[in-house]
Amino acid sequence: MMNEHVLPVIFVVMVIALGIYLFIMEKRRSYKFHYAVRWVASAVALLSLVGWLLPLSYSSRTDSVSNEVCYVFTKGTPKDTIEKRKRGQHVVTTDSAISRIHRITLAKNWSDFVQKNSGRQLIVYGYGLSESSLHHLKDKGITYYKPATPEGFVFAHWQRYVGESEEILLWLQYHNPRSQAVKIALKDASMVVDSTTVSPDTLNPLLLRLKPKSVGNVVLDLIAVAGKDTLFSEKVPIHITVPPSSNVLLLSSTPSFQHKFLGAWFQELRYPLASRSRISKDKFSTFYTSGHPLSQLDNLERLDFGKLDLLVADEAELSQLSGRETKAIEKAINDGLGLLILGNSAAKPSFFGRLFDWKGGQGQVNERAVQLVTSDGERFSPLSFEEEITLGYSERQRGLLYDGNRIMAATRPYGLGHVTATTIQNTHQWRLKGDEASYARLWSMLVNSAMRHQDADQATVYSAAFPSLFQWTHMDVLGAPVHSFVDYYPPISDNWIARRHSYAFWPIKGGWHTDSDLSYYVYGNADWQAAKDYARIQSNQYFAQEAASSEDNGLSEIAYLQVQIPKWPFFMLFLISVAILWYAGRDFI
Amino acid sequence: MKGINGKQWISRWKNKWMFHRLIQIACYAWAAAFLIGASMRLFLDIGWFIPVLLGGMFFVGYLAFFKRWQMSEEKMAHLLDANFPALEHSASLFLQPAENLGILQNIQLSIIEKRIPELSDRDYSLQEYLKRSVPLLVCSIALYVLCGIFANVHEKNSGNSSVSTGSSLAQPNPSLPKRIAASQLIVVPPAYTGLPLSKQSDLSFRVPAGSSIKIQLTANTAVDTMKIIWNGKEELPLVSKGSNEWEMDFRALANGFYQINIDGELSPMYMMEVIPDLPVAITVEKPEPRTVIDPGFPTNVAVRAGLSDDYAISDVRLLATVASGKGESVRFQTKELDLPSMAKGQKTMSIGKDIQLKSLGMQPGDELYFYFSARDNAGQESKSDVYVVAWQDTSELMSMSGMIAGVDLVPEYFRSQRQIIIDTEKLLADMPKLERSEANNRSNNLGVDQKLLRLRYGQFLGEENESDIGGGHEHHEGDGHDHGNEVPEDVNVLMDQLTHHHDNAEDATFFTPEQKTLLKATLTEMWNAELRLRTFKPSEALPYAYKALRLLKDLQQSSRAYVGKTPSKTTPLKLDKRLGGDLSEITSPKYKKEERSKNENKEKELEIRKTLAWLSTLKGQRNMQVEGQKRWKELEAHLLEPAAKDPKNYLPALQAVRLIEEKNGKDCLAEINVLEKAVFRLLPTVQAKPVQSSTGKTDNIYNEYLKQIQP
Repeated sequence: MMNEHVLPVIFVVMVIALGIYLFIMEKRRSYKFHYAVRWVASAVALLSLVGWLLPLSYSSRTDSVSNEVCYVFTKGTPKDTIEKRKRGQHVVTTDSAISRIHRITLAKNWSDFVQKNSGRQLIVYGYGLSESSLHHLKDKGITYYKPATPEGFVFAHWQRYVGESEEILLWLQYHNPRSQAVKIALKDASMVVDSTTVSPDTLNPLLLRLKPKSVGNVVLDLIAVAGKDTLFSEKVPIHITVPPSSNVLLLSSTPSFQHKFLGAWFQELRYPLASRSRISKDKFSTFYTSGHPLSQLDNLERLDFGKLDLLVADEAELSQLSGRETKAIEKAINDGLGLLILGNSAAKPSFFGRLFDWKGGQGQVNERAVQLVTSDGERFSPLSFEEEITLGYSERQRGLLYDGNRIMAATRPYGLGHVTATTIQNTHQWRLKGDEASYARLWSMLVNSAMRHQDADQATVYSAAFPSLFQWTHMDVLGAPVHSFVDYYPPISDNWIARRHSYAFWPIKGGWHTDSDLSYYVYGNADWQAAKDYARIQSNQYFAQEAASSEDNGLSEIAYLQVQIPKWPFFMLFLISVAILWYAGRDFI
Repeated sequence: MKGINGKQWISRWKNKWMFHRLIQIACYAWAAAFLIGASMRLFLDIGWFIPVLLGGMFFVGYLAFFKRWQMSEEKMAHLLDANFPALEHSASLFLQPAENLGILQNIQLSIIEKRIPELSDRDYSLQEYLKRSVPLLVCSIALYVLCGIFANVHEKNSGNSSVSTGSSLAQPNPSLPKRIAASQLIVVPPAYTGLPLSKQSDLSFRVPAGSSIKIQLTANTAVDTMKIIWNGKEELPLVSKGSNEWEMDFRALANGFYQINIDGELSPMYMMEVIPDLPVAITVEKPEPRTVIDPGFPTNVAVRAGLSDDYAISDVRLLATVASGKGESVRFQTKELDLPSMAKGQKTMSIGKDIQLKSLGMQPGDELYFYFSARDNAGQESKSDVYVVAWQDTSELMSMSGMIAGVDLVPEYFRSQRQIIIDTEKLLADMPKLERSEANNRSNNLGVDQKLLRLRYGQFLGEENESDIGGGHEHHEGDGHDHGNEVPEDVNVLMDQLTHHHDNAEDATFFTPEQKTLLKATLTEMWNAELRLRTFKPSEALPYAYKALRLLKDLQQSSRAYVGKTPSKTTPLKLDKRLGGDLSEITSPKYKKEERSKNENKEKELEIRKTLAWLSTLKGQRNMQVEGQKRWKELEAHLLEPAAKDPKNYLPALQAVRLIEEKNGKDCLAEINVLEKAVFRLLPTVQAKPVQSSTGKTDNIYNEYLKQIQP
């Protein structure tokens, strides 16, 4: 601000000094060409130089209420609308292609345009204005006529960051205005992993799934094909991580097949495992792998549960723990430890068992086949059960697995941790039959529901769904500031949430970017164009609706405009005066 | 008047000239057409009518647009004047009307008219016009024909067949290494296949297993060493035969790929695919895997089998084992049964034989086990499954063994069926002595007994009255009970009827679905026996009665399971310590498992998964960067073994790796796609694993809030 005002002042002072000097020198000249003419010419030259170099403007008051409209054509405006309206008095466009083809004025400086047209009602056609352009109109409002929904993928959402073996769900919406069906295919490694078909002339939501085989920064391909023509091809970037191993402790009241196979499965996953089976009163058989942080398992009271991620115990064993041991486990669960209770017949329910409503378990019944179903409707292969134990309904729990109407597994939060209870038995039958997939799926689901949550180092949130090349991008990162970013884009820390930093920048390179643990993807400008256009239509619609509901539409304001004085008159005057001075200096007289 | 002759003469010359001119134009037109056709023939398969048609168009077009082929009589006269000096440039006088001619002109006219007959056509030969055009046409037609021949030859030789005839110096092969001018593979399949020797120039080959292959390579420059690298590992040198000829012999035993190393320069990879010789496939169409011959039924078994092999079947045998006796005195006798003679060396054959059980020395109660054994001309033997034929013994059926011990739900019913059989046999024995009416009466009574027995069994299946025959259906309200002896053929329908349905009284039985099926079959046989007894045919009823009894015995024994006896020794109990509650000597065992060394396979699989992800990003990057350089080496190592085992699917991927490396990842989208697909196929499906969900750090504001609100 200092520079803005100081430099012109210095310039003016210098011009005045020069003017005084010229006046004195003119006085001293020997030839007598019209002194007044020469002096006036000098003065005019100096003044015109000032006017030419310095920005001079004046305020102009505009009329208060105006019925005039200004048509704004944005990208996506139908041609017939442009042809119909372009002969109007006030027509402008924000799209350079429309400006070039239809020879309509391009609004290069939007804020300036808004100021100049503050008395006019803006009628917007096409996909609409950008967020920053709408921001300038927040006190004014617009009338918006939305175009036809663009063809293609108008909406897409998927998890950007997943763990290995997690199923990825891709939620899409595709607009197909054609008279033929369009096939949508998701490709991983050039192989179609899931596909669906969109009927003609529909705007359909779709769901595609896959379990990727890769690890790291992956880019999948999503294509839309009609006949032999590929209509659209979009990129689906996903960051897949290998989940770290977790420390697990197994407690069982009796050695059983369930525990044996479960322990073997954890070892196959290379999880550090410790296992304790009760073989007699206060006598235990203990097993642990060398990487496990806990080895002395006789007295659970002294264990450092903070190093543990998951405790798996059957109900009978939990009911036999002492009060202090139970207290230690409860404290650990409050601090985030996960507990997975394997329900079986227990004379007295344990402290943790009382969190659930156990039903049945009165004795052996005939073996029956059970068809487990998750809350999402996914089925497992049949199992045969010997004991009839189920869980009752409770508002505090979330059901995980069902057998018809019976709840076979449920989870509930407890402090910072989670407690999951299950009554499922004989899952080792799957492994014996070779059905490893069902076994892994079931126990992964149960373990996930209880496992201690890991601390997130990096989690990113974008303000835009598709951060694109050379587009202004906001990114919020939860964690330590990204050092390489800090050098180029200073982060802004959040006022209320520690370890949350915001970055704003223009990406200059497309594709995956990895920095420390942070990975993010920058799309090309043409990527997901239909989704971007559709999002813009919706934001403009919402903006127009909000403005229409507001009473003050801003047309009754009186505005003062700053009008800049053009430079060319000063330039002409300068030339003329300099010419006169030159002629005078030729000393013809 | 004589001028008219001259005029005719000029007219005649004019026509002649135009004729020759037309021929000339036609020759040029078709010559141009055939030249164009010749050039097209090299690339397209066009017929001869195309140039003919084209020539016609050129000809007609020329005639239409250009008038140079037309001649007026005046011009002709000038031409004649030019070519016949004797006409003294006066030929045009012939064309003028006589009344317009002056005296001198008439005189001149008469003079030259007399000379006309003396004028020779040789002085003005119109053949000049054809001297160039006709040979040109002939040459263009010849060129067209030659191009056609050349194109045909080229098409025949451009196919990629593994067995083709050719000279030792084959046509240039685009996949040959740079320093190799020609290559030849001589493939000698094993003699037993009967396939002829073949030669090819393509260095990739697909041959029968065990074929002997000789590679002959001709280098175009001097070469110091030439080796073949098998599957990226083993190197074997070729033998130099002088004058840049190299060769090597080997046998194709397994799939793989190879490269040629010429003084350190590696060639492209060539595929080696081996067609394995499978053993004879035997399909036994008849009989069923287990056949039971009940008393009274024919004692012959029809056996039908189909055999097929890749090359030829050399031998087929039918081996049978007869088991007779019971308990510890079971005797086995193995024989080879004669088969109808058939021509050896066929690829497919069909064999049939009717085995007479009695001819094998079998008695009721014996069992026959048989199977087919076939050998192909490679000496590989294959055997079919073992089929069993059991000849039921009536005494065994009638005995009470296995029926007294075990679950005896309704023993009196079993005795009743046996009693019916005994009574029927007695009736048959007494029949010659009885009167017809009495025999029929007794037979009818036996039929009634059989019916009562059947109805009693039918109660277990929910049949409520006499009219239900054989079961096999459910009762419905309003049902007119007009059902035939229908047994549902569809297993699902049958199972649906027999399995337990909640709140269905009919299913409230002690029988399992399999037992119910047996029971239904028993009722069917009982009905068959009853039918024949009541129609006074007791001899025909007997086999069905025996069958019913057998099924009943099977039903009775179906719930039994037989377990092998294993000897076990237990520690003798110490009675003084037993139930004492002393746990002092019981220790708490501790087992520690040392962490296994890194699972190399898992590590390798993880690296391949990371590489697959990186490949997906390479498509957008178009530049390998430093990370890529490392990955290519690893990827090549991972693909070597699969390419050796399955070159058809993985060798293109290995080639793609090298190509992408050469191009540094630029403009090789197709290669990346090939590589991605191969790597994707290599990886197994990922099993579900637990994934820790993430939250903020424990010291964040959310956790502080939670701590504050907790009691």
